[in-house]
Amino acid sequence: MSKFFQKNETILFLIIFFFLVFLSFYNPQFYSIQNINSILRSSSTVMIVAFGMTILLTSGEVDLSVGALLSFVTVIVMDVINISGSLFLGFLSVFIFCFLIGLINGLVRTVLNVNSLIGTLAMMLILQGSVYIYSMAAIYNTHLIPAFTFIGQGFVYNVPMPVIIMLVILPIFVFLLNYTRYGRYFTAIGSNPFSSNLSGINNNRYKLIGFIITSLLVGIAGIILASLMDTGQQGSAKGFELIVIAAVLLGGTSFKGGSGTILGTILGILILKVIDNGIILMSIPQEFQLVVPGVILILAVYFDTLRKEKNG
Amino acid sequence: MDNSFKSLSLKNIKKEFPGVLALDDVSLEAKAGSVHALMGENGAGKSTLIKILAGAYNKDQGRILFDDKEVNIDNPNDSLNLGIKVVYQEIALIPEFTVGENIFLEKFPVNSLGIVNWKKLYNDCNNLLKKIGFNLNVKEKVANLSISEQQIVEIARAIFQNASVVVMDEPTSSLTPNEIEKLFEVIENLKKNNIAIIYITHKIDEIFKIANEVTVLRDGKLISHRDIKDTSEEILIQDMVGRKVEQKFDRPVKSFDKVLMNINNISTKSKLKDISFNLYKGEILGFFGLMGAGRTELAKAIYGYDNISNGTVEIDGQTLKKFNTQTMVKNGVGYVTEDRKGEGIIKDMNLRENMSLPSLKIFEDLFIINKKREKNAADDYIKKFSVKTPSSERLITLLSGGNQQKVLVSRWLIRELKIIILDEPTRGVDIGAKTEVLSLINDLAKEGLSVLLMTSEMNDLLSLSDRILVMADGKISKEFYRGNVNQEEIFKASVS
Repeated sequence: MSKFFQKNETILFLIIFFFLVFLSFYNPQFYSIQNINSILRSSSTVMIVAFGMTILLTSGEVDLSVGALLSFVTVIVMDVINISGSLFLGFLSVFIFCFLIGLINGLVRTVLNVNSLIGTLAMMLILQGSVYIYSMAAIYNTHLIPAFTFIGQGFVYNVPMPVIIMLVILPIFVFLLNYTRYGRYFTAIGSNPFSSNLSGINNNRYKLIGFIITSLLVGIAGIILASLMDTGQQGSAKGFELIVIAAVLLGGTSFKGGSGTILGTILGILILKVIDNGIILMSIPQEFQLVVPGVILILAVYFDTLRKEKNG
Repeated sequence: MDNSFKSLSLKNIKKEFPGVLALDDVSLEAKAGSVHALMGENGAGKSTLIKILAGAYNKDQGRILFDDKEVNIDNPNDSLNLGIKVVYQEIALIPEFTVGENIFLEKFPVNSLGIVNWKKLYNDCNNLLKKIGFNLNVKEKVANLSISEQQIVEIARAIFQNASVVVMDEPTSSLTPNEIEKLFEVIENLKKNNIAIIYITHKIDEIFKIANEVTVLRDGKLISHRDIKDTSEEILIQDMVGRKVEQKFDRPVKSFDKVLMNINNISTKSKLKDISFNLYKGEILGFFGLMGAGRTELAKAIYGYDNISNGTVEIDGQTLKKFNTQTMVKNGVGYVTEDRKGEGIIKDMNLRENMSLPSLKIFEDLFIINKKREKNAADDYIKKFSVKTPSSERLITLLSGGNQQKVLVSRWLIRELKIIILDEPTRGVDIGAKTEVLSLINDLAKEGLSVLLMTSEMNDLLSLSDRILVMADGKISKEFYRGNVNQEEIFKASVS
């Protein structure tokens, strides 16, 4: 029983449970299908990117450029489909672009040996600037292909499409981290890079893969977001990277690498999103949408450190 | 500087660590204006003694007398207040600051407003350097100085406030002969200034140049204290080495015929110079060397962890010029580090995951790790090496040092292995587990594994090695064969 309570996931579950009970007493509207769907839909883009970020943070790296890349992707996908009229070409160009950005992020880290906190911060600035070089104005949906709109706005049996996409990707990452040797490698590299190298593991190769995977996931999330907004917008994902990283850390992944779970990440995101939602439902000033998660993040990481000190 | 200071003496000092008696009834007296050399093999207790003097460790028993008055050294501050300054091997200056700024770092001369009086600082600095007989531009950045000059700055920094005792730990290890001469001049000047010097070194010839008396420690015990006039190189080596009873393992002298690995003229930028040797199948090849001789550097260079600047490695007839750790692992080489905590264990993983890390491929069914097979393999080795743990799922950090070491060795045995490189395999392992680890190595070699055994423990070396290569200063200085070994000669070759 004591072990059960020492697990990070258990605590996160309890926090969510507390919020759910509290909010449903406060405002019965909370349990409406529409409200739950809106929480899940807005969670899914964050979750998709957070899967990649969990891998990166586990291996001791971070990617701050995901928000800027996400905005860029919405612009590219909308523009290319507008011009070509082809969904395939639109998606292809997004994934090629994301692959290249991930590759560059990875090479800056592994070949140039620039700390990823700084390297990807630079990439964030580069992307934020160059998206305006690409196009000064927001790009509206002029192609009007229904399938595209369906990706972000559609439902299957009352479940929003973005949630379904997320649920398709989810098991791949649970599988990757828990059941394959690659999952072990990411943990080993983050926990002790010297030891993993001395065990014959090519640290740099896996770090590179981590950056590329994360960028490709941003590509998927960006397509969803563009569809949801029906626009390609330059500044559409400001602060997105911070929400993703905060959620992953809240989920128990260590910023120093070496430990992380997908389940924890999902719970972390749900907590942030339920709080978001609660603030709206309780008509608290919207500014608190940033304040409350900030406070919770500090507390969560603090309790995590406490628990680790006690155990180790 | 305090001119009334006469002597600092340590009396009957005892210090125990879990499982080890690091110092057993050791006494030492440092007299003003004189150099007292402290010698002994690695692990003899020199650093423990120094750390007690510096206030980093507390003694368990014994007394410390400062000018015949008993004093307490409970923390580094007590030590500094008595004027005891330790100059460590690693230089700890701020490279971007000037000589003057570094020397007066703790106590810049300031006026009542807190503004630094630079003129006074550099004047005082010049006077100080003159006092120890050294000429240096006090406004030069430390980063632009040679290593020996930096060392002098360290010494100046140590003594600028009333130093009574200066402890130097292997001060010449990275100096050229010319620079050593300069350092000795400075030491002579310190003596004139009524400072007592405790001088730790492996290099016997230096002692006869500057020391007045010499104390030898071995295994935490005081072996001898002699006036420099009453001793000789032979006597000192005898004192340091003693007659060791080597542990008996069933390992008869035999000759090997099949060369497995061939090292040709390996050099690295930092340390190694032109190293060549052969390793035979089933052979335990021991490498002995003192701190800084280049054993670990050699191990890491062969294993592809550090880059080599020159040379080749040949394994089973295949010549490798450019290689990394992955190449070596693929070629059946394994490596167990001397730094178990820093480079060995993965603290976020359990025993099983630590053991299987380099060999995960063999536990894969398609893409999935078959945890059952993995666990079985781990359980096999837990049993085979009697690793003390409740289960293979225990967090690695919860095991003792010896048991962690067994896991790290097993890490390589799970896969097909031809050569294992062991760097200080018994470091930090308690005595009982030591014998177990050693006999495990013996068994592995009997099964046909070739072993490179890097060690500074005479006992490990003598009880297992079929052949011994002695390293000194990045080179191989001498070769010995099992059954024809002389401890004094090994030691002599290692200090040359």
